[in-house]
Amino acid sequence: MKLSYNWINDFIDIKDLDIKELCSIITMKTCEVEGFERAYPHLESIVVSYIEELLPHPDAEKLKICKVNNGKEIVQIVTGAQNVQAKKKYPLAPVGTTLPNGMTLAKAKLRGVDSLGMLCSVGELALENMIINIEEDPEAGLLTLPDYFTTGDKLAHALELNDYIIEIDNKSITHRPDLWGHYGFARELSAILKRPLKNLFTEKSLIENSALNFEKKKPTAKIEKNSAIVYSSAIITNVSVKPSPYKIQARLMVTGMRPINNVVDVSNYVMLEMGQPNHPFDRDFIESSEILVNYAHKGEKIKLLNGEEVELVEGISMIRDGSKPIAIAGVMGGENTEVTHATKTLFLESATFHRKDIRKAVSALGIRTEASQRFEKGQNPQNSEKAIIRFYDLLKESCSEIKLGTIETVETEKSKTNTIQTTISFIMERLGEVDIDSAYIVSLLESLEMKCSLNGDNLTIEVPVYRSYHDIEIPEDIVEEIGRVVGYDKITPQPLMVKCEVPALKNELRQLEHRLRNLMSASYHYTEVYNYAFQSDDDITMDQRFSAGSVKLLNSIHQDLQNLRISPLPGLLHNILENYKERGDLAFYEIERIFLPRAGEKDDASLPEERYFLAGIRTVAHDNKNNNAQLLSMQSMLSDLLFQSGLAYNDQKWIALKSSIFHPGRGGAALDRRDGKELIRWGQVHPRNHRGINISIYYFELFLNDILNLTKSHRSHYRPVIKYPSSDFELTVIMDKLRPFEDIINITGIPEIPAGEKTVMSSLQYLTTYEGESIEKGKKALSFRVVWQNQKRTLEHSEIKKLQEDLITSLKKAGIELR
Amino acid sequence: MSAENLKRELSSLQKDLEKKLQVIASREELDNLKVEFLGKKGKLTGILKGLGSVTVEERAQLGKIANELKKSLEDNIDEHLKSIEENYYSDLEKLEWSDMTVLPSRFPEVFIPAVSRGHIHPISQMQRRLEDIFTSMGFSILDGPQVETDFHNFGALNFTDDHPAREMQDTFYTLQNHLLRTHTSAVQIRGMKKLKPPMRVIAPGRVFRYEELDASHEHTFYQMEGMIIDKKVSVANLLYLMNTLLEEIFGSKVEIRLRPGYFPFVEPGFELDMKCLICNGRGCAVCKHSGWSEVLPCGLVHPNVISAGGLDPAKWQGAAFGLGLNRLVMMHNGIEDIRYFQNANPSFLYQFDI
Repeated sequence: MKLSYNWINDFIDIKDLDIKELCSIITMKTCEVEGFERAYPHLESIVVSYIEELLPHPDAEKLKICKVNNGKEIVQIVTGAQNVQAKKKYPLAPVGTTLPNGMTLAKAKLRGVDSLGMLCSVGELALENMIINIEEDPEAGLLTLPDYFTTGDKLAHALELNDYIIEIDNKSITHRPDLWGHYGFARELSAILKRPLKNLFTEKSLIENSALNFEKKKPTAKIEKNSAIVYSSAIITNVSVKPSPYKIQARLMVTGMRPINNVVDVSNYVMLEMGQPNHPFDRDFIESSEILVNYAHKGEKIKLLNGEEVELVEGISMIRDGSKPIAIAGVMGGENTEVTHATKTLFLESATFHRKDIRKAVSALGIRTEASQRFEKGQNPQNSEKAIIRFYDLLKESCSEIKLGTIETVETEKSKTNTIQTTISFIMERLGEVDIDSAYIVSLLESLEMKCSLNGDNLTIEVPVYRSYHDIEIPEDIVEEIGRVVGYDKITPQPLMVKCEVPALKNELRQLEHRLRNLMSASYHYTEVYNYAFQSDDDITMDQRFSAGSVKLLNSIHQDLQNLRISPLPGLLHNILENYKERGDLAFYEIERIFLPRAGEKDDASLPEERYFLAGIRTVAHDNKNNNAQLLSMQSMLSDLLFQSGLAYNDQKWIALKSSIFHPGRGGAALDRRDGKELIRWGQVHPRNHRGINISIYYFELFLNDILNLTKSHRSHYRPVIKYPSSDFELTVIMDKLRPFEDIINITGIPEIPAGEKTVMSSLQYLTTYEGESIEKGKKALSFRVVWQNQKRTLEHSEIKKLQEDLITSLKKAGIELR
Repeated sequence: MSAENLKRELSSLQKDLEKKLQVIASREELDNLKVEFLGKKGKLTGILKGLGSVTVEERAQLGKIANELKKSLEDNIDEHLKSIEENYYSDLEKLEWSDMTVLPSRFPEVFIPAVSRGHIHPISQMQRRLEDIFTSMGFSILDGPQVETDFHNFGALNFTDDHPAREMQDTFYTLQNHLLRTHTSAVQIRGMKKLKPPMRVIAPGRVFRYEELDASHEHTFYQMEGMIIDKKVSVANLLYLMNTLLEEIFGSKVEIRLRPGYFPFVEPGFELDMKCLICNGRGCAVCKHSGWSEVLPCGLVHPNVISAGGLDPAKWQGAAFGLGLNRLVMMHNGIEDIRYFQNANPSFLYQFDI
């Protein structure tokens, strides 16, 4: 919201305060000031000038030489404007002025004649929105100023635009409906600065509000159901619609609204001043004798002031002429009763509506106006009649002959004032150490127009009506009032006295997460990335691991972002595809959650299952050949990760796995051999998932909870050191090319930890695979090593020999020959 | 050449292609065929050179036919490419089979690093630092769901249905009437229900707002909620805690100030500013010449929230604060664009170590 510094000064004298100081007071005591600036800085140097004499240019027919009085001296200006006349006043931009278009004026020669500045048009001054000279076509050329302007006066002053704009952060006054107008801010500053506040009304204006008998009777107003809190209305006659005085136009422009005519402008002015939206209807377009406030029917339509026709939904509060809708309550008026230049009589509405109804209208129709913004906060119903009187007062300034009829007010509830019961000690306890006493607290509350009665420690506070709606409702609100006005800088920081203890809860998942980050980044050289929680439909079909569909968004930023993620792969794959050309080899990982839908809606039980994953992807963009080496590299990394997480090498089982995301011959999984539980999926990404891009991409994924279970059940890998030597046996076998190593494991068995008297195979290591010239087609040569050991003794030569022979025999039985 | 002849040639071109496609089984052959028919010096272009000799009307008609033909030829070729690919994919298992059942060698014997070193995301690093600071002060780390109920995200936090502050946070909703949490404050209620007071918790995590992207706005970002519930908690305690925290984060003395701020779940509510570290309060571009940078919102927990957490507000009081992790990282490193945090951008990520 934009505030005008001059406007606040109408009600409280703060001219002595530097603007920066004022903004800092508002920031520290009341709400957030986003910034401040001069309203029309260029107008500060533009002066009202008078053309003493007009001479033809000796060298150019279209140019004229003006002898211009700038209030101090006569200067010479050359202009090309066609509408320039002698003995008239125009805005003069002297040399050195920077115009809104960014141009800075320098001394110039136009066809050999010196020109010391420029006479300006409305466009050059960025004043197109202001109605300065009604007789003149704004396109005509120079802006002709009224004769009564003082020559030499600054234009900013003459047009009342010498002002500051103070920008308030709207969010920070969500809870302060009273601050949605200049008068509210003046009242707030009056309390903080302890300076007198001027009244909005003169004595005269209140007396003049007497019943008059008009030719056109005022329609009566009626509120049906609970569609409004209060509805005040009155007739104003003898209106003549014309431009507003400069002051009103200037104030509207400074606060970001466009001047239209005196009636519309005053309506806006009252809203920006008091925070009370109001609406003038052309009385002559109202046909029935009753104005009705009630809720819209479904499918009903209304054409609005902005020319748009909207379809209504149930629950939106409407203003009707009989049964015909003429306005959406608190949002926008209809076109059919709009004030025009021919309007003579007004039906003026000033009402308060329920904020839920306004919210409903705004969110259903997508129309947000200055009025709806104020009603959403919940305006104080006591302002409804006052706004009509203020409207009348202000319109009278441009239309002295107007008459105001009786104000009729109907209401569904009486306006309220809140009473808060609290204690001084409650307030002091919440604030902590601050040097104030009960008398000070009372005086401070009273300056905020709160009536206090203090009885020992007990404090009863009567809140003024303008702060009783959605604002000050509980004792904690009083704590805030005291705290902010005293200033939080007056509070001495104090440590919280708590038991000396370790955290009540250990977040093991988080510890694991950070440990995995260390492994992935420090040991495995992967880089952590973050991806969005959203996926496109195509991405959803890529990975069918969780085929129960996805959680869908009602409102997504883009149609490609309408599903919640069900697979880590597509995001990481995009990361690779976007970067591999430029970067070559890449290795990324991500730790986040996927969202697996559950049936039902709204409640806790139907929230999707959020599974924490760690997934990694890497590519070898420049070496497409050695897939096996890359697979072995990733596998050894994953094996290390499992080992570091507590799964001994011998307990890891590696199997082939079919999955649509993986290359059909290169998908795999790592299992916990002890219970067969799948822990990791890994392999080469199926080339179908990166059609047209000829690189090999490797991928793995795991869920943190599975790994956490390993970590939890893990005991030390340590075993007593064995003093006796082991016996290694390295052998190379010939077997069918597509026969997996698993077949060999099935023969040798799984390595065991030597214990007791038994000799065991303590290690089985895969070494290499070879296919090529010396090997029969369709076969491969595979080398591996077995290690036998006994905890209690050195192995006998004969025993070793037997073990070796037995192994060879078993291999042969399974069709695996020694090379 | 007459128009009739041209038409005939065009239609025979289609048949010619169909015939040739039948015997093509490799991508290379297909690429060659594409050049032969649709290339710059291809058959189609060759025929169209004859257009010069026909009337204007005929040319328009033939042009249309030629364009349709071109599209149909391209479609034919594409379709064939897909079938070649699918054939290739179905043979892949045999052609490129790797033994996934071998026992892995010990890392790092066979590990091939892709790049010289790895990097941890700067937000993860900041989050871990904060977690370490808070756990050293006895705080527990909580997590909550990213898809939340209206109750936890709004209702229980004193955003009544008609509350205008709901508009402050543009929200993503799911078709199942849930929402993507707009702040980590959604964990407050879950925390109070899980732990017995007195309690000290933090809840870091990802949050969402329905917002268009630009250099300072993201629809996805990271926060850390903090909450203390105890018999007596005052503004003075909050000030002390925040001061300690910020000095720990920035590794130097900091000066802070509280000013009024509005959030429905705290009362009183504050914005906490820190004296700008760049200019030491004199005013600079970073602090928009105010001398202060806005760091975090905080306040004393609203009694309605304490009730919603199942505790008696007459017995328990609280303080809460919310840290924006993106913002902290940006302040700490002078990062200019919030969008760098999402998706993989090596030029950005490689600047952060571990």
